[in-house]
Amino acid sequence: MRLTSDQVIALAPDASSAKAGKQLANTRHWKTLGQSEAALWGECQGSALYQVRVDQMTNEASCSCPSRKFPCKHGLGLMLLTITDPTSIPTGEAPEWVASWLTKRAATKAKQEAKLEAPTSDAPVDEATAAKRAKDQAKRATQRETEMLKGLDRLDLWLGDLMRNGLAEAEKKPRAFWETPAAQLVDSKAPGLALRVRQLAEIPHSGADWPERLVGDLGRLALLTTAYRRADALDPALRDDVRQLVGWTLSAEEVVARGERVADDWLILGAITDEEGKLRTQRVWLQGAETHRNAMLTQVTPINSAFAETFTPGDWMTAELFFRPGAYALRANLGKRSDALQRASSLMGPDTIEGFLTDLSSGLARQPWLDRLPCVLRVVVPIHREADGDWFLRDASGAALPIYGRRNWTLLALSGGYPLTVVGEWDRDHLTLLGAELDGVYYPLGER
Amino acid sequence: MRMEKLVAVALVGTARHHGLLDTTTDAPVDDLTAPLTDAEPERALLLRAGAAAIYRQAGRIADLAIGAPTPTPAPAETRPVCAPGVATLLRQMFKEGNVLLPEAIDRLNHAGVRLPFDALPEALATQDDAMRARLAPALGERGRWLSHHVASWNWVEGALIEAKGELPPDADATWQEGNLKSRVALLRRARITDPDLARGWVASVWKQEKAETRSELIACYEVNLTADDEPFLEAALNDRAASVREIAAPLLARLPGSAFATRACERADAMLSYTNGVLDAKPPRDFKPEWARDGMTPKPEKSNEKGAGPRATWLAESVALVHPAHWQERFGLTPDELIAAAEKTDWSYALCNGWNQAARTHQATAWMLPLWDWGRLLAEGESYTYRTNHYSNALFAGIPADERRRIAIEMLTSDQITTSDHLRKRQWEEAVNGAPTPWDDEFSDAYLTGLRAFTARLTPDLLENPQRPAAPWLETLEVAETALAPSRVAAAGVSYPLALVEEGKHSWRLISAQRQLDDFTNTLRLRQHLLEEIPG
Repeated sequence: MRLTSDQVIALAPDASSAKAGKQLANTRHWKTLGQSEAALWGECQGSALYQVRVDQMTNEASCSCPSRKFPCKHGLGLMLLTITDPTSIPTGEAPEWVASWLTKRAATKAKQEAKLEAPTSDAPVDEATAAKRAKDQAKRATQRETEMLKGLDRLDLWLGDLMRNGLAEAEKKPRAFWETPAAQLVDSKAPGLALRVRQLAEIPHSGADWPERLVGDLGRLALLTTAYRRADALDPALRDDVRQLVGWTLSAEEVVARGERVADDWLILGAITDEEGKLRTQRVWLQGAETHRNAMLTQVTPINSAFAETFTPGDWMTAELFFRPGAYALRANLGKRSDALQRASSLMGPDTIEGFLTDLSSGLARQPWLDRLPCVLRVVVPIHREADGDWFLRDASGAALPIYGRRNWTLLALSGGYPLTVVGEWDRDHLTLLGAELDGVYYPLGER
Repeated sequence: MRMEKLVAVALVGTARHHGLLDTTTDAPVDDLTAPLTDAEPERALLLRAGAAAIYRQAGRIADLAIGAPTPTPAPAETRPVCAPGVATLLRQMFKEGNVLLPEAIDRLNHAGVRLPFDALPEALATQDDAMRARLAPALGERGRWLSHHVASWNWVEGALIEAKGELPPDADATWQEGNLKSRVALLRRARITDPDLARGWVASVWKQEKAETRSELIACYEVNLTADDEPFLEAALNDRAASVREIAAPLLARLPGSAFATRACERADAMLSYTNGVLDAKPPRDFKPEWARDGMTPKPEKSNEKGAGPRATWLAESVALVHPAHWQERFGLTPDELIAAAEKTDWSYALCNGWNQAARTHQATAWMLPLWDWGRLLAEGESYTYRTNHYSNALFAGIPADERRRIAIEMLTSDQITTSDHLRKRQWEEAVNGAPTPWDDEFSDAYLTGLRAFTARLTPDLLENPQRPAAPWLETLEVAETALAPSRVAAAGVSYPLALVEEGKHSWRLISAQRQLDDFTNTLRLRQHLLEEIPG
């Protein structure tokens, strides 16, 4: 196991699981223990004897206990035990209950990969069946299209009403005022628009310039509905973006078939987790070692459960990414992944703030609804402005950009007043610190 | 680019807006949205607002004047950095204030390496003075540089100067304007490095300070106390505040040949005599008014308990102000013989309590062990009383290290104590926890053998039944974590499993004992890890 205790604790769905896991990280709770290259296992004495298995590759745990948390305290306990007391877990042959689990997992994984490799590998069908399937699919798509357009009409009416009556009252509107149209958009199968409408609710209480930001976001929505209706007139790549922004999702097979495939060793620059309603979403920022391509992966999971994949900032992974089709290829799906050896990093990005801002505007020219971009700025010095405690990055030309982060002091300690490479997430108009690179070492400085 | 007109229209609403809607922004984006005249006004407003927002987003420019200079770069490092694995570990340890930090930092300093840059903010947040003194050299040039950027990190320069045994250049300013805590720390240092300066400082402010501050300052005179301090201390006996007088008196008593010491000696001499092998104690019947000035209590609380009335109090107070070696000299007896002789008088409690106090005031190490043993006998012989419970437990620390080690090993190998024997239990705990640290291999082995044997026989009955004998082993785990010899840490970190369930029911005492033992092993495993990562 390559994880540290901190990383295992980070996998815990909540604080109480983490605490219980720590208590179970002691050999006396375990009837049997063992490990092989593929798995880690143990039988833990709780109210009953629970069988716990952990995949060494992905750190996913499985347990026979009835807990709905994932991973459960037994899985966490076993992982922590291997870190604190590695000698207590003998290497040996996996017992039947572990071996069968591994076989089943391998089979599922192979099936998924086969699907990725050959999306049309379904059993051959006769022509009539194929034609019928295609017809059904087309019919469903048409039905959905109709529903979505109805939803768009309703949204446009709502937007028009807002403009007619003015935004002055928006500050006093209850949450339901924004929630109702958002829920209607979900019903109309346009979840992308729904999310954007829901996010509007935050604006009226967020600082003096809220009217400008609110009217700007309403305008972006209107541009999006207009663009969707006129999709045929758009450049095909931008059309893909617009459809995805409104709410059409591309199946994994479509992404494999139409997206760009890039294999590389990827440095995990940072992972940002948001909680929205009953879901946790995570954005993971990557840069490739050879291609120097930036990429964003996303994953979603219900609250109280861990994400399917673990991304530890600062780690390397060897993986194939499938960039989703669009005018600005950034979001990608994760293909085959394996752990890569840790290596020296040499991140690429603009040397000047002007350079980054130019990249930003050309990105917006290609895809005007672009909200988030990775920012890798080389040769910048972090500066703490004593007067108000604000932080900036300054390049050799003297240009500066504000930066927000919880570990800015560590960034300053790493810099010592000398230039270094700083990585952040650019979110519409501000930069959040993700990490820094110094002498070939990447220091994650994000959320945790 | 100006968004005001557009935002104003959006705020008021198109319905209430009469005449031509002016939503121009004075920027080229207006040309892009000009053809929208056909659309209904609300839609045109929205599309213009969207285009303008994206135009503005794309047109973001850098700040050229942020009003803050680029910091002067940090000087080059003189120490190499520690191993990369240590950094993450230390950062976490700083956050939780881990008990193993002092040892870890000592090892870094011993190896001549520094903390990694990314552990510096957590290290600089350290509050404890002793820890800061250790840490300052391990911060390296970068840590020192970084400390100049945050007011609460400015302790670094002071700690570095202190490490060299000098006073900081701004000492005078700190003395005049600093808070009480930093003034006291400074005064204690100045009393070593520049005693005349220190005396001058106190003299210059003495009259205007509050009583509370005066007592804190005069207490600093225990550092490097010399005959030159006598005039000031003698004058302090006339202070308005009793708290100041109470501190001045024992300090004066410590100055051999001082007028105070001579007075105290004469007073006590009149109360004790030794003839034909018999010690005779004659406590005063009346309190002489001039005694009050020397810090004695004119009206002690009345008590019927043996050795606690006003006469006993005056006797104890008088004896406490005299160096106990005086009695050895005057009567030609050893401390053991004096204590034995005192036992035969009616005033043994008062005498031993007085000597106890005197031994600590004068740091008379030869008396510590005999007095401590007397307390042990008291505990074994007499029943548990109010007096014995208050018999001072600060004596043990004054016993010479070799003796303390010997006594502690003796305790470790005889741990059958009845739980109800409170004083015995306390002395056991005091001896083990007060043994000289770090423990050597032999001591560590004696401890671990005892601890394993204890946990192996630990049952709920042993913990809960007052009649069953058990030494307070669990109270020693915290000291053992850091004191155990490095060579024994790995062995000590192997779990101590208790039989948590007895006759089908859980014992919460055992469960809590198991938690304590688990914490102990976890800490030791971390310590083993540290020992491997930072070779000493």
